[in-house]
This record gives sequence, C-alpha cells and structure tokens, in this order.
Amino acid sequence: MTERKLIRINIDVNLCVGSGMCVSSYPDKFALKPDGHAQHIATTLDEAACQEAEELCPVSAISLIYEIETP
Amino acid sequence: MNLAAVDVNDDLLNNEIVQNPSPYYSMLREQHPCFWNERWRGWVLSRYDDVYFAMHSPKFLADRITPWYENRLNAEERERYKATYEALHSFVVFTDPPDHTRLRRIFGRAFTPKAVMTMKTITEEMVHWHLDKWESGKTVDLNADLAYPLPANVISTIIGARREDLGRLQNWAEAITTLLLAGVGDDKRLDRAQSAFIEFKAYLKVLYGERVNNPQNDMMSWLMEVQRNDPLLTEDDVLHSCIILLNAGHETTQTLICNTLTTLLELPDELEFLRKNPQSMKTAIEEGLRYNGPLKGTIRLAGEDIQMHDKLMRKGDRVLLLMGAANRDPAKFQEPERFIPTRDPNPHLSFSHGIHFCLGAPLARMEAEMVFNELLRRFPKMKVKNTIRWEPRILGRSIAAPIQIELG
Repeated sequence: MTERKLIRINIDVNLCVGSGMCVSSYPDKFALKPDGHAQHIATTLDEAACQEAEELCPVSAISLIYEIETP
Repeated sequence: MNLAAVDVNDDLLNNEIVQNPSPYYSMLREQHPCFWNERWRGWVLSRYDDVYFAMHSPKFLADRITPWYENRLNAEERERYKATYEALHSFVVFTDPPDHTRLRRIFGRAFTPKAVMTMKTITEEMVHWHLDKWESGKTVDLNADLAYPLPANVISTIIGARREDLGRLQNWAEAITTLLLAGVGDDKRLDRAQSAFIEFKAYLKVLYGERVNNPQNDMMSWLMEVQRNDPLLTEDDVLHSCIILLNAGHETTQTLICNTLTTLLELPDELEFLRKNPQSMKTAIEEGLRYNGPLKGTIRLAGEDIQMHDKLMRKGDRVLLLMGAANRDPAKFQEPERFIPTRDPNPHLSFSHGIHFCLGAPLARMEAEMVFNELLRRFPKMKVKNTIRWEPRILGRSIAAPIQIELG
C-alpha cells in the first residue's frame, strides 16, 4: 500500500489575483503580501486546510505537492 | 492650478473617445495619471500600477451605495427605496470588509473550478439549443439571437429556475442592470428596479422554500448548504446573492461575447489560426478581455485622504479606475495596441483584482470558450455586416445593437 504525504504548497504568482479566499478561510495559515499575492505563512502543513484552500481558489493558483511513500 | 489639465477633455461620453478610447487613455497615462475630472466630479486613474494598487488597497472603498442612500435621498425616498438599498447593499461588489468577507463566503463553493465543470453540461446544452437554429448563409443578430439570451439562460438555469420562467428572469435582470449601469439618478429607473427586486426576491423565496427539505444540484441549493453551516449568513443573504449572480453573469458575459467575436472577425489571420488551434482559444479570450473588456472602468471611494502623483484625493472623493487604460499600459504589456491571441501571461485587470476579483470568472471563461469554438467550427466564414459603433457609457464598453453577422 502506498501513502501520500503533503510536502509542499505552491502559490503561482502569475495566476494569483489576491482574491483572499484562502486568507479569509484560514487567516492563521495564509496572508496577503504587500504586492497583493497570497502566501502560505504557517510553519507546518495542515493538509485539510491546504486542500480546502486549493479547492476554494477561484483561479486555481494553489497546488499541493505530495511525496509517494512506499512503506 | 495645473494649466495643462484645462486642455484635457473631461467628457467621458465624447463620441471620439467612446469610439476609440486608446489615444485618450494614452494621454491620461502619460500626462495626467491622477486626473481630477470636473464634469464627472471624481478622480481618474489610468496607469496599470495605480489601478492595480487601488484594487488591492483597503483605502479605496467599494461601497458607493450607502453614501448615495444616506446623503442624496430624503427620509421619504429612503423609506420608498428601502428594498432596493437592502438588496444593493448586500451585493458583494458594493461592500467592504468585514461585510464583504462574510458575504463572499457564500460563494466560496459556488464558483470553484470544480463546480464550474458541473455547469459545463448546462452551458453545452444551451449553446447547442441556440446555435441549432442557425444556418449557413443566413444573417443573424449576434446580440439578440445569442449573446444576450445565452448567458442569462445559463445562469438562470444554474441558479435553479425552470425553463418556462427564463423570460421573467431576463426582464428582472434587465431592469436592475439598467439601474446599475445608467445610474441611480432617475426615479423611473429606480421604480422599475425596485419592482424587479421585489418580484425577483419573491420568486427566489419560493425556490428556496422548495429546497429546504429537498436540495437539488443547483446554485440555490449550494448557497443554502453554505448558509446552513455558517450562523452569520441569512436567508436574505442567499436570495440577494442569487440576484447578483443573475445580473453579474448576464450583461458582462454578453458584452464579452460581442466584443471579442467582432474584434476577431476583423483579424482573418488570427481567426484562421484559432480555427485550426482551438486549444489556443483560452489565451485568445484573455486577450479579448484585455483588448476590449466588457468594463472600461469601475468606481471606488477614497476611504481617507490619499496622495498620488502630487495630487490629494480627499476622503469621500469618487475615483474611477480605468481598467481599459491599464490594460493597454506599455509599462506592463508589450505591443499593447496589438491583439495577440497567444499572449501569455496576460495579467489584465478586466475581472478586477484583489478581494473583488470576479467570482464568476471561471464560468464566463468557460462559456466564451465553448461559444467561440462552436461558432468557428460551424461557421468558419462568418462576417460582420454592419459598422461597429460603441455605446456611449462611462463604465461599460459595449457595441450598439444590432450586430449583424452573416453566417458562412
């Protein structure tokens, strides 16, 4: 059996429009930078929160990167 | 007083400017980036960086409805137009945080790219329903026969309206849109919009009631699901949000279809390229949005005194953000006056930016892509038959009806 482990969250600055959907849903995990783009600010990766932010983003600027683990 | 400013034409409805705004925009960007327009009684921003800044800055407020309601109407008028104010005041486009944050949450799940995929079936069926009536060799009115009814029917069906009611929804949307685009100054327009708000809301209330115990796979049910899980949201919030959806998804998409298609029909090489490469339609639509987007500008109010380019915008002043000018700023776009269907990236501001970024953008993009690819496939040799004349509007950029297309 394989398991996926979330290792990184990417926000594409060419796509991000600063709609703030991620920030208003998880203000402790995302913030808007002075240039208007979103940024992940939490020190740890909360998978459920990251997945929701990815789903809510109106321009699909957020992508999650997983590592496949084979135990 | 700045003497040069005296020479600037401040008539935003001047025919020369309306027909070809580019030279005027370029003059504003270069010489008067923060211009006080005496006739319009407000500031005009035209450079990309400034418009972008204003869209992202909390110093620029989106609520221009409350000052109108509280300061421009007397007590009796306020009572009379209460229903209109309540509806407009809960439109996300006219609210600022924290109200905006609360209201915007309703739509969180409504327009995710995934949800839009489920709207694809409705759109596909509607596109075929409209285009199946068209035949090669005939002349059609792009606006009346497709661009006007299609987006209205798509969004009405997505909300949950029955097909036999689509005509009524179009009438309500038209009355409200006229008020928003033509201004709130006229009593007749206000009365018409007010009746539309009241009737439309009563209609939506019935749909709401039907779905309390019997959710459907439609927008009304999705919004109700969000409301059930969020104690800060009310039934009224859901109903008003459906009203804004119909209005926002209606006229703007109509204009996007007309403006982009007529632009493309004047560029035979680009059109042929797109017919052979339908996968490039996505970037071509973005270029259409940049080049002749449905809105030339949007309005904000200065929330405090703001200094820009040696000018002082006072708290409460109106500010016109000219996306049309920003989208052709050579500081941001190479060859801004050329329509390049493969331009990528294309950071145009036609859907706005920041917290007011158009929540229906994924739907508009999908509708336009489907319509254009289907049109090019069915009628590769279509032609515009009449001269394109742009409507005199301050905010909207739309073509005067009819737009006759000979199908080939």
